[in-house]
This record gives sequence, C-alpha cells and structure tokens, in this order.
Amino acid sequence: MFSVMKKPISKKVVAIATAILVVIATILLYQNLVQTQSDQDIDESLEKKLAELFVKTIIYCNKTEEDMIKSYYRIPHIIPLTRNEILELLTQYSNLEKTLFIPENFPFTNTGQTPELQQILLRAFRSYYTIANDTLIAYNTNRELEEIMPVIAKSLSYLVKCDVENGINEYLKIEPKLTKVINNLNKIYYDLSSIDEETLLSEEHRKTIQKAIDTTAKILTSLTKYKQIMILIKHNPEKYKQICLYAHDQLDNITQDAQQLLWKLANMLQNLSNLGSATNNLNAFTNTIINALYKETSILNNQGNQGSNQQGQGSNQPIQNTSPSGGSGAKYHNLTETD
Amino acid sequence: MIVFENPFLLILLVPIFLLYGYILNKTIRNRKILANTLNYPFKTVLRTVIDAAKIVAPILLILALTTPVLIHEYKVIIDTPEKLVKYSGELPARFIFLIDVSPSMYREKRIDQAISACKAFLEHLNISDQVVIAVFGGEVREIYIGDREGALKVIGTIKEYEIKYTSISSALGWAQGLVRASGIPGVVVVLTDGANNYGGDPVQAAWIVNTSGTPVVFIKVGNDPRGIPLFHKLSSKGILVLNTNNLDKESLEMIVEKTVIDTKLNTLVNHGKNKINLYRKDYTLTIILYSLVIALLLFTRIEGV
Repeated sequence: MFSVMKKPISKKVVAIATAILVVIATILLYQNLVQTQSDQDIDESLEKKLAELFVKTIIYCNKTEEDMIKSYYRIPHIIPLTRNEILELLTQYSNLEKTLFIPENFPFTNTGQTPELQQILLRAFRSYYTIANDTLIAYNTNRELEEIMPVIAKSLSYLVKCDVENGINEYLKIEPKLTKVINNLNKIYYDLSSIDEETLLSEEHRKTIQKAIDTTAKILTSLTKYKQIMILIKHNPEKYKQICLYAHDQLDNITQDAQQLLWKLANMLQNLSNLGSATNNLNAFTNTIINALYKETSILNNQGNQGSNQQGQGSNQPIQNTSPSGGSGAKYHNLTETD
Repeated sequence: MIVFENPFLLILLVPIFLLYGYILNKTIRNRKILANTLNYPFKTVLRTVIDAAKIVAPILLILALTTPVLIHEYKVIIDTPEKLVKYSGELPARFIFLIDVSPSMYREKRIDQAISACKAFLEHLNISDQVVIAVFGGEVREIYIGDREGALKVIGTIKEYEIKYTSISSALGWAQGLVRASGIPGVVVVLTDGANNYGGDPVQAAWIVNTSGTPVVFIKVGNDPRGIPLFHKLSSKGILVLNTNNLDKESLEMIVEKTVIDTKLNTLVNHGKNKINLYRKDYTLTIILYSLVIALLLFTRIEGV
C-alpha cells in the first residue's frame, strides 16, 4: 500500500519540480533576453541621439554662416535661427556632457567595447560642441555687423568728400562694437580652425565648417584692414586731408609726410577690394587714394624723365610706373587712340 | 467689391428652381387631397415658413459654393530694401547695360570680365524687369531688349562686336533717351575699363543722368591707368563705381545683389513708382451663407421626418 501510495507522490513531485524548473528557466531566459534587448536599445538610441545632435549643429552652423554673409552685405533676409533655438541646442550638449561621458554612465562599457570608442565619441562631441558654441557667438556678431556696416559706409563717404572730422567721428561711434566684432570673428576663426577634421562625421560636415572658416576669415580681414586704415587717418587727419584735396585737384602738391601716409594707405588698400555693404564706399575711397597716387607718380616720373634728359641717366625712384600707355591719358573732345 | 471665386456654379440655380417648382407643385396638390380626405388643415403659417426655408436653403448653398469674396484694396509704399525684395515682381524696372567694346576691352580679357559682371547682374534681376543690352565705342548699338532670360542667352555674343574709340558720354546720352521714351524707371549700368577718348565729358554726362533720377552704376573692368582719374571723379560725384577686380565669385554676387536692390529702389522712388495696390480677400460672406444654410436645414427638421 505504501509503495502504491509513494509512486503517485514521487511522480507528482517530479512533475511539480519539472514545472518549477521550466518556469524558472523561462523567467531567466526571458530576463536575459530583455536585458540584452535593453542594452541594444540604449546604445542605438544614444548613437541616434548623438548623430541627430551633430547634424542639427551643422545645419545651425550653415544657417548662421548664411546669415553672416547677408548681414555683412546688408541684403534683406529673414534671420534663419532664433537665439533660443541655439540656446536650446547648447542645453542639449550641456546635459549630455554632464551625464554621458562619466565612465560609469557610459553605456558602451557594458557591451564589452573598448574605451577607444568612448574616446572617439568624446572627441567628436567636443568638436561639435565647439561648433555649437561658435554658432551662438556668430549669431550675436551678425546682429552687430548689421548695425556697424552702414556706419562704416558713412565714415568712408565722409572721407571721400575730404570731411575728415566727420569721417573719424562716425568711426569712433562704432569703434567699440567693431573691436568686439573683430574679437568675436577671431575667436570663431580660431575655434573652427582648431577643430580636428577627422572628428567630424562626414565630408559634408567638413565642407560646411571650411566654408564657415573662409567666410569668417574674409570678413575678419576686411574689417581689420578698415580699422587699421581708420586708426591711421585718426592719427594723421591733416595729412589725409591734404591727400584728399590733392586727389580732388584742390591742392597742387602734398608734404613729404602726407606722401608717406599716401603710400601706407595705398599699401593697405592693395588687397582690400571687398567691405560688405560698404564696398561701393570703399571703392570711392580707394579711387581717391589711387588718383592721388597716380598724380604723385606721374609727377615723379616726369621729374625723373626730365632728370634723365638733363643728366643723361634714368630716374632712380623706386616707384612703379602707372602712367597711361601712350602718355596722353584720358582727354575729352580728342581722338587720341582708337581704343 | 464682391467677386465670386466659382461663378460657374450659379448655373446650378436653374435646375434647382425647375426641380423645386415641380416638387412644390406636386406637394401642394397632394396636401390638398390629404386635407380634403382627412379634413385636416395642412396650410398653417409654420408650414409655409418651413416650405420657404426648404426652398431658400439650397439656393443659399449654391451661392455659398460660388464662394463670394469681399475684396479690400490697400496701398503699400515701397521705401525699404526689405519691402522691395518682397514686392519686386510687382514693380518692374528697366536695366540698361552699356558695354564698352572698344579695342582696349579686348586686352587682358577685360571683355570676359565685363560679361561675367553683366551675368551676375542679370541673375539678380527680377523676372518682371526689362533688360536692354547695348554695346558702345565711338557709337552705340542696341543688341537686345527683352527679359532677363533672353539677355542671359545673348550676353555671350557681345564679343562679336568691336567698335573703335570710347565715348561713354554718347552711350549715357543714348541710355537717357531710352529711359525717357519708355517711361519705366531705369537703371544704367556701364561696363568699361574707363579708357574714354571720344565725345563729351563722361563724368558730366553720368552726373546729369544720375541727378535726373536714373541711377548710374559704373563697373570697372581691368586696370587701365587711363581710367584712374575718371573713376575717381565719378566716385567723388557720388556715382556708384563697382570694382570687379580681385573679387571672388561669391563676393561679386553679393555686391551685385545689394547694388541691384539699392539702385532699383532708388529709381522707383525717384520716379514716384514705388507704390503698389494690394488686395485682401475677405471670406466673411461665404461663412455667413454656409451658416445660414445649416441653420435653415436644422429649422426645417422641426416638422419631423
């Protein structure tokens, strides 16, 4: 009877134990599966999140660069970004920086991948974070550029009219802002140039950054040259007035000091052909300087020619000959040449 | 002023009236029969009103479908570059390009530089703007008049022309006559190396055209020293001189775009043609009609199904 009674009990126990084991195994397997899935999700979502953030940063950089060009040339446009949008982008970087790159939080460490990946991502993160920061600086600089460009044009137009005092006054109005803009552009240029190209995601991103560097450099160079010219005139107002009046045929000759200033100005203007929305005013200013220089060199060449005729030797003036070919120049009411 | 956006739908009123006339006639007859049979007064004030509503509702629906719109007219004065960019298509101007084709322009690829600068200008004009292209030396020859697209096609052909001597004043005088004759606000763009050697004083001529309200833009090509005094005098007279030397493509395009906007605005303001009439559509009437239709249809439901 005992044996009869024991048999079903043992069978029951085995059945229950087997069921329990199956349940436990299922739970363990499920947990393991869930765990693996969850790790993959984290990794994939992080990668996606970073990629999206980096792409957004490049889009913002591109938009700010376009905004900078249009602000510099004062071409009517709708500002493509708001300050808040850029600040929001920077907050995303700041939040990620606080949480992501601490070793215990870095999700890739759980997947057995090497810390090298962490370093690569960290470097990319730093590069794009720098670009995002520069986007904000560029945004603020663009607004200031819009303000200073008309004043730059005005200051140059006064100088063309030989109104040195007003020309300098206009410049002094914007001097602090101009210095700030130059400093900001310098910072942007330095930051973007320092970025390791290898850390950027794609060739398109590298091109965008290079374009931003070129634009910044172009504007920076022009504004710096303008500032140098204005400082030079600010320190030599009388000499500049002489040059200007001389160019306008209101003065027969200029002093040697004014001549030196004229050459300095001519040298400074040599590679300055573009000053954004003030380019036409710059051209007028350049034409004034060139005309004074042209008159001056013509006189010196004539003196040199006379000297050579008298003394039987050529002029030793180290001045480039810019006198017209054919020697007659532009004379109206005359048929001088057929061209 | 009221206009209908879909006036052709008014034609639907004819079959609607015919159909209603038929249905109403039949209904009245049936009601009379019922009234006589049941001895029940079918003709009450309420029923008459409901019948009227049933007739009016579809008529109003047809009227609503034709979308009657109230048109409000208002004027906009174009006095800023921003407004000009927005409404440039509504305000055509005539851009007259005077291209120097004297022998000196064929030195140092100056003519190619002129063509590039001219193309940059043309690309920034509005489709509604008119273009005149003329070449000059000692005389002026008009080679094109039309729109921007056509001008872009013919601009390369100016290399086929070479005219002896350079008389900028004659070219400017010719352009001034053209602006006066057309009555369209004009902008004169002179592309030259500045080696003027024939005719009257170009500075005086440019100044006269400029002060008459037609902006003159000089585009300096090449570095001919004979142009130095000329460009200086033009600049000091307040005439725009654009130097295309040492400019990269992007800078040239930006400067040209800015110049086009500024000069077009100038000429429109100077000629008093900087006002445009704009129209605003008001759909209030359509909304009222649809609301009335719904209200009438709901009202007719009080008689039951």
